[in-house]
Amino acid sequence: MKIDKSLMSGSTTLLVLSLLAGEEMYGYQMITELSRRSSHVFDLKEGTLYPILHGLEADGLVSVREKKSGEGRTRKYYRITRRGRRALEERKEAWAVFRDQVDAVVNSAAPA
Amino acid sequence: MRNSFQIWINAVCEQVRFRPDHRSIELELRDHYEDHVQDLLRLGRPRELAEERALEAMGNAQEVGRALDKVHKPWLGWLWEVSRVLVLALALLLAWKLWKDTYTVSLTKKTWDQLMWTSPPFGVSYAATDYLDLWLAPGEPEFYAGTYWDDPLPGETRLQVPLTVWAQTEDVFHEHLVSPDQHWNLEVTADGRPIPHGSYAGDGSTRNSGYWVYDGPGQYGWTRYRFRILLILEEPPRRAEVTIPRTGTVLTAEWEGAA
Repeated sequence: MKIDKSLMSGSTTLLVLSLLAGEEMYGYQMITELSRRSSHVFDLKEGTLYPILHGLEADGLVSVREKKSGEGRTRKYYRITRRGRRALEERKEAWAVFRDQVDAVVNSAAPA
Repeated sequence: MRNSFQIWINAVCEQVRFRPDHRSIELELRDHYEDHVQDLLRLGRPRELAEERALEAMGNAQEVGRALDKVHKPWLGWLWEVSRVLVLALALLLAWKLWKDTYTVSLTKKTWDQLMWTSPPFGVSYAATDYLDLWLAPGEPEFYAGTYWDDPLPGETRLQVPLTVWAQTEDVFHEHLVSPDQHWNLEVTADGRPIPHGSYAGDGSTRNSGYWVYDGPGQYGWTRYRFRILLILEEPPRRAEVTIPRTGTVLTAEWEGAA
């Protein structure tokens, strides 16, 4: 099942920060990891990842460093910052509230 | 298909008004695209199909470009560039200033001299004042024709008799009684005859005078320094005395076998 783009857009930052909470990653790695962890449900248009990453970098939530990959290519690796971890925790809490309330409304019986 | 990617990336960059960032954006997105192509090739897709799929997965170029433009704000980018140039200019200015600033150069030398300070030899004349420990040692008289800035007059040779002074204090903030940076404030006699301060350069025309020579740091604020008092005399002395003003402390230097 593919998820509607508008449903994704509000949570991409949360998803990206969650991915980076475990290890530093480069862009393509994030896309494949996101796809894998969501059982191919989250299929982000790949180019749109970069404005998100660059925005997070500008906000100081992630930092970037260049590293040579095995194939000798220099890649930009993104790593979550301490500030990014705090933001992730806040967004997780907000997401939990949001999810519960959406569930509550969606699952509530329609008035007679 | 590679050309298709170039068209795509050009369309992305067209939307980003801050041009200096175009190159890094292009490199990163190109890496991403090529990673995807390689993955699809590994899965056995034909190259053309792999490139087509990878490009399609990148999304709408204008959309990506507009989103990047919101992050790569031109005013912020230029502010960053200008501040980098300013910081560089400031660093260069500071480096130039430090290079030109003789005080900094001399400070470096003095610090080195402090580290290289050698203790006075055993048995030389020693006195302790309220502020300073002082040592005085006689040096070897020498005839000097010289080739330096403080040369004797042309054709002349002068007799120079060095007295080496070591000074040490615990109080780095005290303005010492003895300081080569101050005036000739020591009373010096050679065989009982007062030796006045000659010209600082000691031009050699003034007999029976003396002047300072820096051997080590002698400025206010240092704990240890060493310098020489060069006596310009007619003949080698037997004995020289140095009186520290206001304390009455006298240091003596004696030469054995002097005429």
